Amino acid sequence: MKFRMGVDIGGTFTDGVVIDSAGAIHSFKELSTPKDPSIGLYNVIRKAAAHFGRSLEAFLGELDFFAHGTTVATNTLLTGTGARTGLLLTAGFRDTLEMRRAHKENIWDLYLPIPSPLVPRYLRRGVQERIDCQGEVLQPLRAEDVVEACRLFRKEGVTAVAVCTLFSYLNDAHERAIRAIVERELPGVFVSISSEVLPQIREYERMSTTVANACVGPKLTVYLSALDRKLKGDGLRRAFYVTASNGGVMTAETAIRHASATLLSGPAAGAIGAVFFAGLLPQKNLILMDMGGTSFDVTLVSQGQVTLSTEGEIAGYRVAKPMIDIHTVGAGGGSIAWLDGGGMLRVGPASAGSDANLLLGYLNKDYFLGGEMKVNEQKAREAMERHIAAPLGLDEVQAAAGVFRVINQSMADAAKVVSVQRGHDPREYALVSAGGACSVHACMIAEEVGCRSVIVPKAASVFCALGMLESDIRLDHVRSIRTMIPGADLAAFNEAVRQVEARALAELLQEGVERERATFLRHLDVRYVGQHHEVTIPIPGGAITEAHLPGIAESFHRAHERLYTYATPENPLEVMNLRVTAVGAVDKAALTRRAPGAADPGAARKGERRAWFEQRGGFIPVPVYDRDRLAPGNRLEGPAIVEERITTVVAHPGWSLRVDEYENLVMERAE
Amino acid sequence: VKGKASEFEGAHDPITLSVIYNRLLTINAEMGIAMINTSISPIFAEVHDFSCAICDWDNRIVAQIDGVPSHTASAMEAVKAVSREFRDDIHPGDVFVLNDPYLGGTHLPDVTIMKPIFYEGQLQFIGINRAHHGDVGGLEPGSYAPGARELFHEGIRIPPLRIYRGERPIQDVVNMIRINTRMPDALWVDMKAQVASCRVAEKRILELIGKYGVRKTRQTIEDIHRYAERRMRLEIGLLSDGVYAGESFLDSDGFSDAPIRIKVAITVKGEEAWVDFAGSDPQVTGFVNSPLANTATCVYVAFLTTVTTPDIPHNEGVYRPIHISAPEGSVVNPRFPAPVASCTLDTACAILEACWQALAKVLPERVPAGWNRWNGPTITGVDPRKGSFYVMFGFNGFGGAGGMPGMDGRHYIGDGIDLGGLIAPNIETNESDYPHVTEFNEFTTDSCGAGKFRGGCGAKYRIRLYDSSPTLVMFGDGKVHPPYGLFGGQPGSCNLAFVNQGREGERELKSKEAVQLKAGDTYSSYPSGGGGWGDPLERDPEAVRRDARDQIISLESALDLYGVVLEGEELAVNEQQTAALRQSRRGG
Repeated sequence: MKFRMGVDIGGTFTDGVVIDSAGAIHSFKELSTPKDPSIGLYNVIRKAAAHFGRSLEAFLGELDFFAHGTTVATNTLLTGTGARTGLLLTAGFRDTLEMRRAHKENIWDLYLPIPSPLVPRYLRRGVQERIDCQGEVLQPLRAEDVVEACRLFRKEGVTAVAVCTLFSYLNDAHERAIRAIVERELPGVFVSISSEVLPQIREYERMSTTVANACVGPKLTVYLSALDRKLKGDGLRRAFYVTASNGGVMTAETAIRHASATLLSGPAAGAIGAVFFAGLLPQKNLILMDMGGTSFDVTLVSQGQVTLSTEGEIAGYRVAKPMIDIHTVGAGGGSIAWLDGGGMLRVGPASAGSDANLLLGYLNKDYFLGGEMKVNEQKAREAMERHIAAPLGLDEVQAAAGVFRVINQSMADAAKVVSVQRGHDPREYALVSAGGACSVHACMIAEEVGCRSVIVPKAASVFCALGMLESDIRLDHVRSIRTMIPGADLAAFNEAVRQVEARALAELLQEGVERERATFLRHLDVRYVGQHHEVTIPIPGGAITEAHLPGIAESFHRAHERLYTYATPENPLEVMNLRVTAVGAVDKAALTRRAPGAADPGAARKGERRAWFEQRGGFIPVPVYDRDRLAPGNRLEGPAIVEERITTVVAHPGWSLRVDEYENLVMERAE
Repeated sequence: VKGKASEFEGAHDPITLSVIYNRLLTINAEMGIAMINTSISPIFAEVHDFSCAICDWDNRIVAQIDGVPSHTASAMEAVKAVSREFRDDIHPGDVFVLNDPYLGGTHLPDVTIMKPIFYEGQLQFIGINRAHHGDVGGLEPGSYAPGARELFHEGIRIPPLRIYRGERPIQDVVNMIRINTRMPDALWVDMKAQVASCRVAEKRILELIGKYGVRKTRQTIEDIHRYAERRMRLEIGLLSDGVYAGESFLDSDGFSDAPIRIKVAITVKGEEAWVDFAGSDPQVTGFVNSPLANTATCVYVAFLTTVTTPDIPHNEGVYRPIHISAPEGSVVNPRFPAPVASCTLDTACAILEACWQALAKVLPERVPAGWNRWNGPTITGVDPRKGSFYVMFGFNGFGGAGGMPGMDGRHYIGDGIDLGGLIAPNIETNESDYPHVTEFNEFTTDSCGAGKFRGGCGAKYRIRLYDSSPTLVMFGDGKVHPPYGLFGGQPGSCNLAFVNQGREGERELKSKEAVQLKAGDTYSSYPSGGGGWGDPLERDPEAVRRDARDQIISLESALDLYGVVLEGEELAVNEQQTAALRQSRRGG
């Protein structure tokens, strides 16, 4: 037997999905172990091995593909627990990072908070050196400045150093020299230089990305290298992959060097999962919601596609790396609820268990994690009483109902950001509810947003993990190539392409990809001469000749027209960057389909319990169904609860539920 | 606690209302992206000194989120001017242009492009793009002329004109405009980018109407205006009735050093407000006169930043409950042909400050201390690398924001009226675009006004120019009048600038003057930090320690202004001595 496995480590749960050679999906869940996430990961692997009746070693040996989405980098930024980072930069420009180009995302909000800089001012040190806009050295590097800064860094316990000097993308000599000194002065410290992390013009964006890279690098390195060693030692024969923000995977080794490319590792896999689903479903417009224990991610899939952007913000920090457009807010199913100073009920990111859902009867206290995990109802009651009910003069059920409503509202607001606020009509979209806690809330969120249906995929709570099994290996490379069309120096251009692709291929082969499975996607960043921003267009493979140029120009004009309503074909073009994405294709899962049967879900009914519904004025008895026994074709009306081993689905009053041929639960609002 | 109307209450169909309104905002944002990505002047592509708006068939703004605040609301005056001038002679495929501040514009460099959007033969919306061009002629390159005594000295005046017919430029008009600027090519390419951004609006709006139909769309637009008006009325209704006065001063008009008074009285009664500028100084010789549309915009900005929450729609409905009056012939409502070029920065900041200080009396828990006023120059010359004329505005070296109840002001955010809407170009793109080398650009220690919540720092910024004879024009203010402090907070630093500071030929620059430079000369700028909010002795000593550690403030300031005793290399707070010192300061 051969297996393929994806594991996603969330804030509360670690989810694993295994697809066997017959195409069947098996899912496994364990509590996450935030101090050392690899413990939870191993628990999931052990559980899977046991399920298939194998030893850990035998199971690892039979794994054809093992991918892992990690939130180590994301959480490090979100929770501000990155390495104590020092920043070396061109003297005189100490505050580039904190100035944020004087940009305010919402100028009308005087009180808009900005995250504190990842490196405080006293750890940002200028070094005498200067390169000009032609790449020429105006002022040589003063090595003593670096040594002196290192002295401070040592004293302050700095464990990561970012280096970003002006115009280093044109001439990296100073940055390399600085790195050599830092590595000599501070052995063992994680060093990132901007000319390697992102060799592109615009020092603020480059610096911010480099600092993020340095800041999360040490944690990611420790984590991934230890895990890599352990997995190999325990019998894993194939490469160990990590999901990247661009929706692809890369080996652990590569991920360590490109830490900032893994900042959206977990959610990106979920988005790929959603694209895969959109391929199976008749519904091609989806709003994917993934509610983990500590964060809530929303991704829009429009006509079966996600949007990829070349830069974005994570936890308020600018990161100029290709990433899937995902909106993240810091509140998930296990979020703690509290009263703020003004007496308003708030729900925040610290994980504290799903007290409210338990008290309202949505979750089964005896069947949490299929009965493997006991939930302490008494503790939940006490927490709700102490933190919410007593201060507000409510009973704990009223308090829990309040928490439930606040969570629904804030989740709905996040879903609106990617849909309504971008001008998409939510009535044309289905909510895809992935991630354990989400399906309790999904109907209420859908009502608030305006969606008419909710889809709970077969492997809802392990959606991200499933997505990983659909990811190809994708490594992005960028190189500044400035040339003109017409008048391109094709010999130089082809040589540059050859170099970048040779490097990309070498990296892919290192990743264990077979030569015949490697392909390259080539893009050029092109603009009309004089413009400041580029349009990225695909170009053909092979040597580029004069004969190709009219076609390339034409596709730029067309893209420009599509984006900005006009083209000026009489104007010459300027090529700025070459982007090469090396893709190593992996085998995709094939899901099995079951023909629909009878509508009556009676066979799956396992009992009844009291749950709270505002529309029904309080607690009412509701039927509880066992998802494993629900079959395609089954239909039922809300209110109803569907339990499976690792997740709970609540069909609220006014909603119906049916099982489709992939065993997804499809909930629809009665008109 | 401020109230907030439940979203779109009373709407005919709340979902459609929400979708169409947000769709218009998205279209508005998309117009901006098109402008950034297709224009060639860094002032648009990097700095974003333009704004886009969408007006309805009745010349009312329905959506405006993208752009600089000083363009808020005044866009309506432009479409009204076109409508007055052309009436029924407006057709599909037309594009209109204007820049005259007395005929619907702001100041001459702001060229407004308007494209009426027709659906099935009927005018439905107008896409508007107002952009600050590098040069529109006049006495000085860059079109800020401290020596101008009348509008005619400030550049080409464009009344409401048709510039495209049947989607094609009318070459006669284009040529007439081009020949009157020092950068004819850039001006025209960027005007085409403005037209393109309006076309983006047109394309998307036609899709929108196609989907929802004319009736439902128009009905929803009326609902959006009503919703905004209701929100504004609710917010004003929460203020205590009364008359609240505010006052601020401009340093000078560039001709005399006499300060210029701006006086405002805001009367709140029920759900409406009357804002009156009686008592403001008469109009002046130099270029700081503010036409009424500009003055009104500053009032709206003051309200929209403090009285309302940021999520309120910015459309015509929101302005209905605010009534503005200013004496004719005053600096806030001048008579033609008074020069006006600096009004969108200098005077606008001062008007905003006067209004904020008035509102602080009724809304002390929301209003910030003073922000920076504009300091930096225009530098123009010929780039030796390309042989072409260039105009570089001082978009690096920004000032700080004022402190606010509960929050320090942001460092390096720019002048008050722009509210952080201008984006500082990267040093790398700026040096690639203009012939200079930047020597430094970082925070100035102690420039921030002390307070329980301190102001943000301004920058120190120095460049060395290497073209043969650059011209430098200062058109700032706030060299004498610093950003105000509030409720015991101290004012921020004053603006300051030099030519060749610390070397031969050093000269302190006036806030408004033109200077001829030579290759190798340096320009140094020290824009003000923001004012402080609340008594500095109440500032958290730990925050003071952090500021001292980070050299945001000096050790002397920590002791003298904040009464915090810091010790040793670690700068630990000596709590006992700090408490005693603060006690004695308060007692004294």
